[in-house]
Amino acid sequence: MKLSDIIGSSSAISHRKASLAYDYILSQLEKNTSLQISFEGLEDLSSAFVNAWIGKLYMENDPAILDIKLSFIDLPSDGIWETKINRAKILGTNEEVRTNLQENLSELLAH
Amino acid sequence: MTSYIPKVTSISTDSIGIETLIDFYHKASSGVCQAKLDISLLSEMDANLSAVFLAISHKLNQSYKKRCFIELGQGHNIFFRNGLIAHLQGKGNSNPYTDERDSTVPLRTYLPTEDDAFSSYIKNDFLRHRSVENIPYHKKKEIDGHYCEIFANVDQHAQSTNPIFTCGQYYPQKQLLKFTLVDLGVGFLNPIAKKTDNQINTDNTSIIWALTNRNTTSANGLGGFGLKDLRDYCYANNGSLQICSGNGFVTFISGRAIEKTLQHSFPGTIVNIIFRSI
Repeated sequence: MKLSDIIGSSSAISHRKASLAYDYILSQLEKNTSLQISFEGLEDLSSAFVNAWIGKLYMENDPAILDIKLSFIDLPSDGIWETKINRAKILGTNEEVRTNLQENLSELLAH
Repeated sequence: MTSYIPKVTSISTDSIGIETLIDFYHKASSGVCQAKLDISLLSEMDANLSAVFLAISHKLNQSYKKRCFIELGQGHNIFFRNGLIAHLQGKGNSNPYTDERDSTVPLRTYLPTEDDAFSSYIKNDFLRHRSVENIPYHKKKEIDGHYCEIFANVDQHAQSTNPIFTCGQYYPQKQLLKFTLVDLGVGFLNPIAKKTDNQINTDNTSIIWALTNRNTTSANGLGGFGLKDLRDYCYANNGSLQICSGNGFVTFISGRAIEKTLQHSFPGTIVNIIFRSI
């Protein structure tokens, strides 16, 4: 399934579109279906979109099951989108990474 | 009542230029001067700052019912070519004046929901521009990605239904490309002060906080990479990123954050990106 078909656009930028992708994947996983999401034809992919889509999926579902059932294909070879996806997975699965702002704060206040 | 005549000889993409436009906004909104910016005596005003001027014009109209004008005098025809005059005439994104020099990235406004139209603008009006024709495809793709990140950031954080204002200008002799994006949203400080229990309590610190490691004001913690990636891109490619929000103005350049506190506050956020040697 192409991501561009799921969101009805070649630009995966906004939170609104990320919700479409999130809802679609969730509905398919509930049917116990394995999914292969293709990035073919997609022109833009923002971190905000990926975080609100993949990050949220990994935050609210079992990452081990997602790793088995959900895969991504046709990613560009430059690795930029893959990095965004991997970062979103880390954010989604790791609560400490999501919530720990204290270290940065102390650093800044000493600035 | 008189027009606003800047006390500078040019309005550039820097803290002094931005402060001049914000000073105009405050004087026009409080009735100290007409809502008319007179640049006829200036040697230059960076055309990308049309986005800031149009945002100010929108705010003056929306909040104070004032219609904004600009006095160009002789020269400054660039503001016809880049679409500022058409916008002030109420023609929106349709500009009847042509840019025969092909040096402008036109002034446009987009609602935060119009991400497809913004994406198309970046691809068609910016990345096909003659100024960037020598940049390799993968670099253009990277730049495209960064602009989309800024747009997504505004959509996510500005909490505004006002348009986003965007404009660029290429300076062939200086090999400079300047690009500006403005929103009239809540800015950086209030949401970040709330998130940090008021430990972050100045505009400049809030801007730096937002670009530090993976800080984010997203309620679920799922955010915080777009602007940092853009800053790192500028660091790596001899560019600079300027962010103005409230009274804060921070320039990220050569691995450093240079802060300036402005006298007056801007009612939103201005993001300027300067590419060098292109």
